[in-house]
Amino acid sequence: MPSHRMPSEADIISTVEFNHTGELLATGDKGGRVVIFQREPESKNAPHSQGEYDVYSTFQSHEPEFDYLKSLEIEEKINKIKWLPQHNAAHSLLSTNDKTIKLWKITERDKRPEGYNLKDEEGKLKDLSTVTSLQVPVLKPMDLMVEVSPRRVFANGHTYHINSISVNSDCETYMSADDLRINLWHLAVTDRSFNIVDIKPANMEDLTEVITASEFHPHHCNLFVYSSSKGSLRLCDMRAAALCDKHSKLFEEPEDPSNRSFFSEIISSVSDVKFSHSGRYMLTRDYLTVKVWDLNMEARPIETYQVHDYLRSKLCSLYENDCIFDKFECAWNGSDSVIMTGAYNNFFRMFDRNTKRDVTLEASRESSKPRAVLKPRRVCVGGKRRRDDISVDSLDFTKKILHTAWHPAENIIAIAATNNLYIFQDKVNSEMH
Amino acid sequence: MNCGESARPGSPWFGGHPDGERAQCPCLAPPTAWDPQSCLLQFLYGQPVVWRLLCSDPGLNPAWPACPLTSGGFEQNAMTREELMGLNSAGPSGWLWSRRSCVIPAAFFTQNCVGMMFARGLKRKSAEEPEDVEGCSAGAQAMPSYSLQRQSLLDMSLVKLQLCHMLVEPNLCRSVLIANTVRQIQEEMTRDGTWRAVAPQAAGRAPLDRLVATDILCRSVREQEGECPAPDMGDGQPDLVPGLAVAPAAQAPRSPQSSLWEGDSSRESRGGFQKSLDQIFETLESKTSGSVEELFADVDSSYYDLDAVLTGMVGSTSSGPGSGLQAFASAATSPPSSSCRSDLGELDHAVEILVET
Repeated sequence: MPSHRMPSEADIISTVEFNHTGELLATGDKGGRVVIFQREPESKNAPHSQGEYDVYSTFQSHEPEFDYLKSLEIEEKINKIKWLPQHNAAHSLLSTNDKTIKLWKITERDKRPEGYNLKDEEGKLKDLSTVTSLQVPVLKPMDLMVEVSPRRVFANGHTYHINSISVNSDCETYMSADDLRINLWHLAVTDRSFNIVDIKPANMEDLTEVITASEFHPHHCNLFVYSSSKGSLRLCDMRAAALCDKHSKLFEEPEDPSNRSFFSEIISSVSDVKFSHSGRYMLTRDYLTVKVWDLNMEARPIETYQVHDYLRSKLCSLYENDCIFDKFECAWNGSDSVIMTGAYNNFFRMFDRNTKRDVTLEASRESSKPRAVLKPRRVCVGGKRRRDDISVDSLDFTKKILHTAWHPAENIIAIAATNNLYIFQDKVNSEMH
Repeated sequence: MNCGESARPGSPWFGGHPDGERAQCPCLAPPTAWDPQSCLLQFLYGQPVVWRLLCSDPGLNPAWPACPLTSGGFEQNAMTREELMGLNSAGPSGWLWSRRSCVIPAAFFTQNCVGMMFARGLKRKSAEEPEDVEGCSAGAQAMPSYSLQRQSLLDMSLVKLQLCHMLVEPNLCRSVLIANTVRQIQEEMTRDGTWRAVAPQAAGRAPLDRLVATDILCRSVREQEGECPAPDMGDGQPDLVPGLAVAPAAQAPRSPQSSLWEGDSSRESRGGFQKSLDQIFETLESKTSGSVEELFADVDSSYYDLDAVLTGMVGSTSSGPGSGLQAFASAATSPPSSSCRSDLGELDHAVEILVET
């Protein structure tokens, strides 16, 4: 796949999200800023040269805050961005940090009125004695200006850190999940939210499980799923009860006793859950694998893919340096046939569900020039070592690809590698190899 | 070595003193208690090993008669790992030198080892086959190695929990996962019966959880300033909870936490252990500036001491035993009062050390 490098961000990218058409790509960073990229329309001169992404707008979404009651700083890092479905010319997105969700409206202005009767070109009031005739102001084109304004601020809904937000298919509500609770908001109402899941125990001493991710079903506005640190998924139906503590379905894979260790629970913690576009499947990511679940089968996933099983023997070291707590995201392609997730050393992995083939690619300046085809990488774990193989011990665990996104329709992927954003496009529909 | 004897070269208590003096074991009554914060810094395969001992009698006077060997600090010890592990069987009359010039019965070292540092990829010197584990300098036998690894994992987890206590914004998911790991270890040790006693050397523990030995930073060397309540060992069998006692030094005004560490029997200790997790979660839930300060009050420059030691040691393993020791000794000779707050910079030091791969 050819690649196109984007300018590097000043801060570490903390979330990446395409909008529903794929025309816009939003990134959030640790500094609380949101950068939106827009895909240039295809050029008629070169029909094979599909549009590339350029910066469309940059704005400061969240600022650092201080919680005086707890003497804690609230990070401005953007945890998640979710686009709202577009209803008019304006685009809207939700961005959230640990505590506060904000609704931003993005509008374009490419015309401005000229020919005012009372004001001159610079806006100064005209001397009325010089006005001899009336004219109708006309709209003249101007340089495109993108304006972003905060329309809603949903604050004070969460005691714990927000880890996910998800817009409902009804386009009127959305949910936000923190470690112990999930709230349902109406997009127009900021001063109250409904608590729909609460797993906080009466005694915090009894706390053994937290919510790690959640998402609404893409079609059924009453269904949502949330994942836990113990590796379970709970599908909940909001029609069943006001408080959805009782799940409708519990998806949990029984533990493999032969692989049991003190780290079993930690590596089973689900870091991301995504419904397929069809709504039939769910994709989950835990530390070493990605799993595809069928909503109709709770007993076990229907597919399991090893992302970096060579790390299994290094869990103690990864526990020591905290890498074992890294939260990787996962993504479906538009047709739900390929799944993607990130790994270490700026590697990311793709799994073709139909051919069962997988590939490891690297997102780095050194290994990919613009327009070059990405070369598959391999991690060798002893035994025969080919040239260009990377050994497990030389993996760079500081270079982790936690955030990835896939264009909703085309083979375009966005990869966040620390503070760099890579966008890879598939010019020719090549097979996975 | 019996009380009153001189240590001979080759014995575990002969430390290769630069002057070639022999260790003299002062004839003192075998203590039932000693300085709770006394530590011994041992060097195993050229890497420092910090041992911390537990005091069963808070009234013990730590001012033991100084021994010529310990003036200025520790001795580089040439013990093999097996000897170190076998100290328990050496008998209560053996003595080892502490950095505060007080002697500690060798018998208690194995039981209270809070952590060992293994150099990466360091091969064992034993004739036995090393376990085929990446970067692991496996222990002498598989069984003691497992319990030691487990102990190390427990200590590391507790330090992590403590550290995330001290961070501005503790990550609840991470804390819960670490706490669950600690509980698992505790449960397993209870099942094995090692909660109270040293792990038996017998083979035959069927489901051996596969743990990978790795660089595990032991607890920092703590300076004891006298007010720390010492868990009573009672029957002399130390258990895990006193191992936790290094953590917050319980001072009188901080009664909720001080009660935590005053476990007499192991049963109470287990309750105290459970309480320690509770304390952590309660603090996580409702952090007050007061509790945060209390947590910071624990951290003294002993973290910095360890840093000084490590930078001194790691860089100069080939140097004579004196230089690094002197570095450590000099760092240790100016202990701050434990009621002093340490700089956040020193905390950062500690965090850096602990999370460094």
